[in-house]
Amino acid sequence: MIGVDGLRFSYANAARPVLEDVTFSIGAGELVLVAGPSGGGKSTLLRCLNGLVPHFHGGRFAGRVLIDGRDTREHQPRDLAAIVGMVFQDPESQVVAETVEDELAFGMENLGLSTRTMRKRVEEAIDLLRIAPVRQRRMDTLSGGELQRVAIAAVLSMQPRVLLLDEPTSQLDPQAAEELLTTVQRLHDDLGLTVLIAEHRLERVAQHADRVLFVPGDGSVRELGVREAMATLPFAPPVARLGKALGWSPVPLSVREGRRFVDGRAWPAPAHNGASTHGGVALSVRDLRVSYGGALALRGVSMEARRGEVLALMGRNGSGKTTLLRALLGLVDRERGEAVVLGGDVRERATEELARDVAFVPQEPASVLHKQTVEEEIADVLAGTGRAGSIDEALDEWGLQELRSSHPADLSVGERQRVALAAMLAGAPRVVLLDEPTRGMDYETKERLVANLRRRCRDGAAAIIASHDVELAARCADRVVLLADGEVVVAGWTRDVLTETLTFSTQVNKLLGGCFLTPEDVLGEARR
Amino acid sequence: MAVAGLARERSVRVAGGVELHPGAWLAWLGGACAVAFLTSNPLYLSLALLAAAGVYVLASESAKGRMLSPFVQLGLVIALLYVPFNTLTGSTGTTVLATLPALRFPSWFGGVVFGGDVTAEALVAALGRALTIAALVLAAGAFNASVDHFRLLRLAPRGLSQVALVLSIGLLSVPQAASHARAVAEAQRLRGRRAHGWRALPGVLLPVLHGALERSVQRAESLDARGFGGGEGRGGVAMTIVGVGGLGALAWGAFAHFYYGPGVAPALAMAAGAGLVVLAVAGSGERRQERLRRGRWSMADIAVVASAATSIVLLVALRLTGAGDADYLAYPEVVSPAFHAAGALAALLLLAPAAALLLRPDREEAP
Repeated sequence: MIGVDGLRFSYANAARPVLEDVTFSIGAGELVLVAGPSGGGKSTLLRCLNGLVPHFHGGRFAGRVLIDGRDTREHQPRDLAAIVGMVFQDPESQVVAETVEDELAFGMENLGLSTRTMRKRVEEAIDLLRIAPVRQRRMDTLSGGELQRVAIAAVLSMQPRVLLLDEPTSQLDPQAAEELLTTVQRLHDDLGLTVLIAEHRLERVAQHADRVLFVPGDGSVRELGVREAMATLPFAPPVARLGKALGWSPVPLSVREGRRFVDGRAWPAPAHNGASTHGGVALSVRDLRVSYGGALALRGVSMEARRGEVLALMGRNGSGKTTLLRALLGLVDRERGEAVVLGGDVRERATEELARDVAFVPQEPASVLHKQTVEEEIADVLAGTGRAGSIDEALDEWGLQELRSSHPADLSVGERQRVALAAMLAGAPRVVLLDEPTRGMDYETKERLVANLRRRCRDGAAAIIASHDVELAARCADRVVLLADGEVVVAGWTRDVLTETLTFSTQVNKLLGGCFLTPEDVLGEARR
Repeated sequence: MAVAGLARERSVRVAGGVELHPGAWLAWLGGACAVAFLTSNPLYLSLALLAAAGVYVLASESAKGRMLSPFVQLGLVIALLYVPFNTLTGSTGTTVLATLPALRFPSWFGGVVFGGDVTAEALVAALGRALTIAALVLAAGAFNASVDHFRLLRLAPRGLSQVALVLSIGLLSVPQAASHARAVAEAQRLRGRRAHGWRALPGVLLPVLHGALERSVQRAESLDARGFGGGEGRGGVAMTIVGVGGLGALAWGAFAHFYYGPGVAPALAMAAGAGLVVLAVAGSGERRQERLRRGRWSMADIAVVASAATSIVLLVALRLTGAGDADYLAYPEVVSPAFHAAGALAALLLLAPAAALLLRPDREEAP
């Protein structure tokens, strides 16, 4: 179906090629996971397969890419559109029409299909992606998850034989991401589509993939079997890492596969850490009530975060996590209650003044990057907030030295996320607020984030991370506050909160039960 | 029977309600503009304003309408400010109401006299113009809130369809840029920079423009990947250029005609522009694209178009016969305008889409 032979490509202004001497082939009906660090060339590789490289993105191109017998050098992307469909990272910027049905028909209209055929295929696509409830809606009223499903439906209605998904879940919350990945897997099973998916959420995709294309970022692309990949690559899901460390063979790809190794074995309980001593109260809210967009977003929330601790704020979408963080910065008006940061009421200081002590990284990294180079971004934050700190230190912390004079717009989405973190957290803010920091984040950056948070807290900062990411909370949070519908449901030590629930538990906890949260708990490594 | 048939056909499109064809909305907008331009009689203009306001209020109930309301409010404020400004600067007329100290601007600044004699004629003329502006603003607001731009622009004939699509995508990016601007302003504050006042503007504007540019590149990529512009011969691009050139010439001609007054150059430009557009439409499109929705015209659509046409015919007839003061002039001395039922009917016919809007199903569910 897909044959790549001696592919080499470098962007017009780049010093070194993104892809070098890449050769592989993919048969019809395979589901292939494209894995690797962000900025490593996954997106470029996918764009080579539908002709966007070299036709849309100029550069030096050598070698040959054959799609269903067609050479991409001789066929424009628009002519390959009937064979290869592509769904992009950002759901919003692929919208063309105002309503869902028009969006679904757009590609077919370009193919010149008859109205009869279009109607039939629109219905099929609506059923396949289960978007019947939104079919009459305007595109701008859809959520991110709905937009991505419509985008896939719009591509499927053209009946392509290959589906390329470029990190389709990176802008989605975990529930929506989960649903989307389930849908993709079902489409692969039912329709026999050839699917290539670039994705960081390996724990969800690994078990369904036939093969892995590993793009390490040095220009090469390695073909690996799934189990081989899980056994050798550093970013395997927790259950695979545990299996690997304990010598289980074959390495389990899912909790279910891991169960057979667990039966009847006793595990030494990890040391219960929760008694670590923390400093004084860094920030607190009492009986906080906030309305947002006409609805009550927070209904009397009380909680506090101490210096030296990481607090994970968890809960489903719309439970008020983001509103709580924004209230701590004075970005939303409260109706009742109090919000105190570093001893002073939030209302007494303007947001731009609070920024000196409180660093906040919002969900959308693109909106916080305003300057011409990565270096300038960091320098600007240091100057604006008046925090003392060095640019080089921030660059080193997030592995950005090589990119210091790049324009943020030239970076990949994952790299930009790193720049946003490096810039907004530059200096030594005394309070760190992160909103959904691991959305679409690769393994390496997650490691950096965890290390960074631990170091800052050792130095006496307080951190709150609003996140759905249970594995992240298990690894670095001291306490967890669970919000639902604008109220605090549970608050307590991470190990207590995350082991008492069914849904908010980690892979290792699902596998072993008890008070195990991470592979390190089992393997006896110190958690902090 | 016709009504039952209509309801059945429509229920296929939109469960249980009436939604007007974009073409019908275009005809209505044309009718409203024609009424506003064809008469200067304050009585008819007031009625037209009321009709446009009625349609606007119904149309602006949608989410999209609410988003547009700042623009409409701005337009109405401009219309209101027009009255004192024009009254104070225009001092011709015989009925002097008051005399203010005159402030004369130098000739290089237009030589405008501010103050001086305030005449009833200038006041009435200014009120008439304000009514025209307000009616146009409301009509445009109602049109924008109700019409699906994507479908409207896809009605464009071949040869212009590519331009039309690019235009509709441009319109789509406006609300996205607005929400991005809010996020950027907030990020500025998080970076310790003030986000208020003029000095903060470059800090917000540049990232917003940059973001808009980037999204449009991504969108162009997605268009390409979805087969847009595929299967067309070389003629497609050439004809598109011809079509755009034609539209440009037509627009410049129309602008020059109204701004500098009728002349040979604007007339030639408009003729040439129209010629090029016809050429572009005729010269492209051996391969016709079909659409998912043919966008059949319902009785309601035809009724709206017919009422808009009737409005125009009535006013043209009034102007030609000179009955009912369709062409009312406040100068040289203000007199009360004459009234003719035909003029009032022409203005009130603009209410036609209101019926369809009242029957429109509430599709804008809360997200």
